[in-house]
Amino acid sequence: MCTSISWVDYTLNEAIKKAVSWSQLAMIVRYLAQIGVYTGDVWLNDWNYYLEHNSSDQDTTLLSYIKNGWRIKIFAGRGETEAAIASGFSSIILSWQYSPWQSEKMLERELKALSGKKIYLSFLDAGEYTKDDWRRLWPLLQKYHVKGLLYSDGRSSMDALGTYNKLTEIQKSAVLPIEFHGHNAYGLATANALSALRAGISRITGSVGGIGSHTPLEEIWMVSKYFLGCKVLPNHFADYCRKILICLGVMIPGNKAIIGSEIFSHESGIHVDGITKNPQLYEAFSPQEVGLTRKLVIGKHSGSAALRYKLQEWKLGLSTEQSKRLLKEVREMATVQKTAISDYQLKKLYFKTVSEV
Amino acid sequence: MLELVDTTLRDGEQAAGIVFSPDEKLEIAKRLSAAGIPWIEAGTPAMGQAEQAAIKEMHGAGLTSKIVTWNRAVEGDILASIAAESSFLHISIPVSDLHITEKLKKSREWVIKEMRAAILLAKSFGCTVFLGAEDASRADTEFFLKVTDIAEKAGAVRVRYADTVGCLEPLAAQKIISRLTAKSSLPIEFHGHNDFGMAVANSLAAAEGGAQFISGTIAGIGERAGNAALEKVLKALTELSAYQTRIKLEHLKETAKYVNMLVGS
Repeated sequence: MCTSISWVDYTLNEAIKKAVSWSQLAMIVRYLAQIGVYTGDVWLNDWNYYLEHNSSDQDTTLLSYIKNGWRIKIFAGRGETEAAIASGFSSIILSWQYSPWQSEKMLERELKALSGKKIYLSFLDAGEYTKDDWRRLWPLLQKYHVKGLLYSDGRSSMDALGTYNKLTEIQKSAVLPIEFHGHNAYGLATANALSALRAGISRITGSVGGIGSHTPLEEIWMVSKYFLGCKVLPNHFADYCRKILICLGVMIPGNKAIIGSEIFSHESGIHVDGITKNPQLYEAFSPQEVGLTRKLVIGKHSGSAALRYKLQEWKLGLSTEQSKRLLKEVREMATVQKTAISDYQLKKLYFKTVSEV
Repeated sequence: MLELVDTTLRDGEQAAGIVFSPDEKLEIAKRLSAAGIPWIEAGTPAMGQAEQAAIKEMHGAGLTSKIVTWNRAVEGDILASIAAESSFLHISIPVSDLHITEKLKKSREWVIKEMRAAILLAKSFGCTVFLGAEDASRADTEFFLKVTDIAEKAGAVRVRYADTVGCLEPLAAQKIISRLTAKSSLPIEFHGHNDFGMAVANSLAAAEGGAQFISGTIAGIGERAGNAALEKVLKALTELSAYQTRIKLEHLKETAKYVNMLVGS
């Protein structure tokens, strides 16, 4: 399973929506390539709007790279097929939703209009389709040589078990490769992507940092490694993710899983005591793996072990009595200033305490 | 009915660099109570008199939520909770061999002995005791069940299954919790962390597996990548899984905005 996994990007679409410059777009594409992401989807409307408002200094090499690697995505039933063909992208992905105003006849008309092109089909709310629906649809998709099907959880309405069951079921009758496209409104996208991989789906969509409510790519990479044993972690992936988010002007929360700058900051007494004995006690993976560093923070929740450890680093000793007194002072200061204690403050408090006790 | 346990003021505040003032703690507790959260883990009295004073203030604030304090299985911690006038005590012990041998440098037997003594001490003051099984997701499940059984006999009424480093995934979480619920002598509370970005999914799976309590923090604040964000858990539980709770989602979302403002994210 691991060898065939690939990723379909939605970061680039967020970049063009944010109207980044051509040079930033080129950087994002380059960083994505560094982390093994060479393909993705961009919406026709977003793409055209971007081109219209960034008509000067177009980077033709970049344009050609994107048009060959990414797919142009259109809504079925909106008369966008001609514009999609005219866009020059080598692959077109048609987004379809089963509804009273989008009949299968209409789908067939659109597929016919795209004949001769490399066509993919995205099914919004695919989880709502029954076995009979799929059985009816497969011949139609084969007739128009659809290359692949994007199984989309458009409303984030699937959970891990449901995703696994539904994708396992569809795989039994599928006549073309399936990709899983999760959304993250409920915070379940990573778990759902893991279920998709477990069900045998090998193409997963996502975006760096999960921007645009997609599956965070960095999370699904780590999850693939730790829960499926797949060696899919691109080198320095966390660093490239951070660089891409900087290009996009997106602030990463300090506690963002996998790439947040504070996920290896430890303050509470019990945790720091544990970390200094064996980091595995309170870390699921090492900071080195994601290019971060561990920080031991002194603050309101510190214990005496943390103080001793920190002071030992500076070759400063501490008696039991001094430790109690210093801890009290540290907690009081952290509570008053409502944040952690800096090294400078700790040293000042230490020398004050030592002189008094 | 599934119940939610909020630990924003305890595990949430333990995130490096986060400190709530006593007034902010009280305000968060009031908002949680107004939202209908039945259980608030409000802090660790053993941290000192200031923490005890903040907890005492919550006890006197007329909240409908029950205030729980966090303790190690240590006499001093229990007495600090009593000094903070608490009657609902969470007593935490590590249950994985990794934690028992590498952190405590002790044995399973030692842990059981200390746990039992701590529960009996808390019970002697008339307290209601909840057991916290730290690092349960990396522990031998038979040992978890043994500890739970002994805790129940000593008088504990609930056990927290803590996925301390967030190393579970939902399909496994559902299976494990389902198996444990069938065998456990105490109702199970699931406590998830977000290291792989799956805390909400794991909480949902644990509820499906039969956990009667789910704990988390507002806005998902907490150690490292944080805890399961309680407002997301509630949203997913009610909108995707049709669970019924009396908790007001809109109030929790507003509380999340308030907490985010306080922690500056």
